[in-house]
Amino acid sequence: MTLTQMGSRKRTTGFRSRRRWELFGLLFPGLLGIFVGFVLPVFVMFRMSLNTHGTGGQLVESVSLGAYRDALTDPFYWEVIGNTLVLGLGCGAAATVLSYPLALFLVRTTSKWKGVLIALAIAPLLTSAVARTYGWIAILGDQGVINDSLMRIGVLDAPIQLSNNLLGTTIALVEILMPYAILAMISGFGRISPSLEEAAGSLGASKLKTFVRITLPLSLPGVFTGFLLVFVLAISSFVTPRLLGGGRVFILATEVYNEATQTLNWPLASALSVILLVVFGLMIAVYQRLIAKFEG
Amino acid sequence: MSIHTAHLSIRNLQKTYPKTTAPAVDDVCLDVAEGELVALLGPSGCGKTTTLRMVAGLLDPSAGEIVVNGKDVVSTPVHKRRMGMVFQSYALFPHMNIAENVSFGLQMRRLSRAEAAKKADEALDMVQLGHLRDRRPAELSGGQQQRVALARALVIEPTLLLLDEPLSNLDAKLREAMRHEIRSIQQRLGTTTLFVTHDQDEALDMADRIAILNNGRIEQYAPPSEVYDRPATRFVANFVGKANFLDVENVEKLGNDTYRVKTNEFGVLEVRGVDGLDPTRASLVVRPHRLTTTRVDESVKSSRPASIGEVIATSYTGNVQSYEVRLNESAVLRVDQLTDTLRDLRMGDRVQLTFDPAEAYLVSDE
Amino acid sequence: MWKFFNQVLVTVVYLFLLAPIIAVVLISFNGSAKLSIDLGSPSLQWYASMLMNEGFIEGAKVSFITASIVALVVLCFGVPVALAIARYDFRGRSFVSGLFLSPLLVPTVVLGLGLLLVFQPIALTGTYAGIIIAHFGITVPYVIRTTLMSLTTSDVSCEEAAKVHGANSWETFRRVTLPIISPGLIAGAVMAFIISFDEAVISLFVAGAGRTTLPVEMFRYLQYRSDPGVAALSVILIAISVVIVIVVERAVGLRKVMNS
Repeated sequence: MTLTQMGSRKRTTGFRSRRRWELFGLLFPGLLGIFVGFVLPVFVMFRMSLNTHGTGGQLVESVSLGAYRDALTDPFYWEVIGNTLVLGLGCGAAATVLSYPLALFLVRTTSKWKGVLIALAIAPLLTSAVARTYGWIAILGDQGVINDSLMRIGVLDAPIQLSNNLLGTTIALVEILMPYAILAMISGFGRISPSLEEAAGSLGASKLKTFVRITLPLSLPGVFTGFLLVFVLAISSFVTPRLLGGGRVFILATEVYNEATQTLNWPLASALSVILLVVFGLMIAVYQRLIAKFEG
Repeated sequence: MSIHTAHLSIRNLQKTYPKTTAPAVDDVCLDVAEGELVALLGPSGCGKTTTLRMVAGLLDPSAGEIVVNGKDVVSTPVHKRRMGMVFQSYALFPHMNIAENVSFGLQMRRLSRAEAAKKADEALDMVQLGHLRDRRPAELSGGQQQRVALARALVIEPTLLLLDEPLSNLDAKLREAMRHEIRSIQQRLGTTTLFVTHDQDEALDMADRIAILNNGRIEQYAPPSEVYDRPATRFVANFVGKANFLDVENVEKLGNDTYRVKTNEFGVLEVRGVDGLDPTRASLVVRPHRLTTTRVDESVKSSRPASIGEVIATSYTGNVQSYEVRLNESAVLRVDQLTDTLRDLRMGDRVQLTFDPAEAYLVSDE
Repeated sequence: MWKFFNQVLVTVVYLFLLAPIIAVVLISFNGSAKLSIDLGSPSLQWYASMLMNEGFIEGAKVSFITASIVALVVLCFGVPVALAIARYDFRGRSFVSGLFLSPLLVPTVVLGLGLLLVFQPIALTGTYAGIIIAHFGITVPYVIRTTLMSLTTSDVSCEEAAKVHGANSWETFRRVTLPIISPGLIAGAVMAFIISFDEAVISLFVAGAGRTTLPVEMFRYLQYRSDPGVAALSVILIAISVVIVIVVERAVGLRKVMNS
């Protein structure tokens, strides 16, 4: 019921206002929680980005874009932004390429193990990112599984650098985030009906041609969604770049943490957060354009 | 029926849903006497369910009054209206057993556990399901669930029983049996009942009176035989039973409900009709089973109005044989007759149609 | 040929997906302190050392307490909101449902920073209350989503029947709505518990020097050294997650709820 209707009829206001109070009672605790736990912190963070960091390390209340200027005039932060984008795009691309055949397989398979196979593909979601990052440290580290075995069989003399750099971080993040891409693709692929492909096949199209002309275009929205998910989760990830990067991988998320907890430059940390949100927003806008194009 | 003796009186009820302009229910007035069963009949979207839900208190009217026992209940919240309702989906509580379902309303009325259980058992016996009291709704057949829903609605001795398409989820055979069961229980208990249906047979079979709704308005409110034999509008004639419509001209009013009209096919006739209709917007209704056919070659001279045409379609449904007879370019009439091999007609046969003008009825074209 | 290639590809992708978990499980039985698979003399020493590590024990206790309270609080605050969105027609309804899903659209680092900025001046960092409030935003969307799912798929006329037959709003909720939607509530609460228990980033910001959760303890431990101990701990955590998920799946069908 709308408020205008409530006003127009006086006779039943008692009944209606009762419902209004019920509604208020239902929403109030939740709204309070979301305000304190989400809206207020984000707002305070925005406000903080307009403050300045005094030369003595003290916080100066102000309304200035100083922190943004500091961030955007320092070549280091441009490199950080660059690294962030490289990580996001690299993870997005790799995860998409790897998830695609698996998702297609999971949608198509008629195996009685289908449920188990899907569960196995998304099970990593249920184990903490710290544990899985640790697993990758154990695999990619200088004395990790890969280097250890390759050196033992004599292929390598010295360990190759797979951790403490962007490469290792990307490998681990791809694995950690792939379940999201797989889930997105599975739900996006649901609408590709096998009969379309059979129809194309019966009309004489080769397997490859059927894939390129029918399956691929129809699956693109699911692919975009998967890519977007992995991209935004990768550029906002922190635990993996920090641990597997060993302090030598600099992306926006790690710098936000450093500025906030080590340097204690809160305005700069906030400004970097806002920049991260902008990258986020841009990517989502591009995604919506693409989806609109393909579905419209 | 005067308003003073009415048990339920709906006055100028109106409902316009948010973000729509046309009202879903438009100025509906309806009086229901104590113990009466009234059917709200109409096609989907005619406003019958909306009306019922407003009476129940599940929807707020935009305007109008709903008077029960002389008291306007519009501002009474739904749970205090003391009504019993059977829903189209039965709406049995899936997590409670049958006995708990039936005693729910009693518990809400703060009856003691023992008393509630006793009354619930009686109600279940009334619908012959006492032996299933410990089952869950999901373990029951559709017809059984329907009877549990009925027992749940009746056990609280409601001031009004509201039935929202209660039979539409049952198969045809069961539906007919349930009609009679509901009707006999309702008559035994004397519970005033409002019954929503889109099925004209159901309404004709069960109701004391039928309110036919179309586009949110009541087209006619009358006992079944009157609705069928003396429909108020073309819509009613068409919706309840099958109808042939003949175009009329030179409508002349003879008495309160008698008219002289001229038809192209049957000439000038004296017929009864709706009082006070607009002579320029009227049609003559002739029910298919009121028409009789004779082959042209064996036709006897009749004192009744007659017209000759050609059989263009036949259909057989067991006890009834139907024909479509074309009289001229614009008039194709349907004829229903009890199956009779002696008068079996074929496509292309030329036949003479006759009917008794006293059984035709002039209705408004609105 | 095509089919064979496809099968190999799928197998390789599966191996890649499960590699860290397999590695963690194997390493946890290492006989030495080497951070590679070394099963020459398998032992349970790392499990033993983990179960005696006071930092981890304390962290596990904090995580368990906070995750339990978070699940409960999020239920009490989130279910009424889902009820309002599903059953009441009010202006700003789509805004409200968008607002409650939006924390998932903000990077946890950003939210963590914001929470730190709010909590630091009022000394909420490193307290149970601080961690619980901090986890509210990232868990409430799941509870609202699973509850909404249950509410929209259940038959509204059951609630209407309860009201017509004499139940007021509270009785209707308590006696009819709540039992019917309880599978969604349980699924949502379990997801909230797991997310809160595993959450590391936001906790890193707000944990401070006081109460730290298990993931934070693990993170800090791993920053300075890597030995098979954490592998043993991870295996324990994975086992707990798997058990919870299987129990819930058996009880209410988590898959049904997650599929939305």
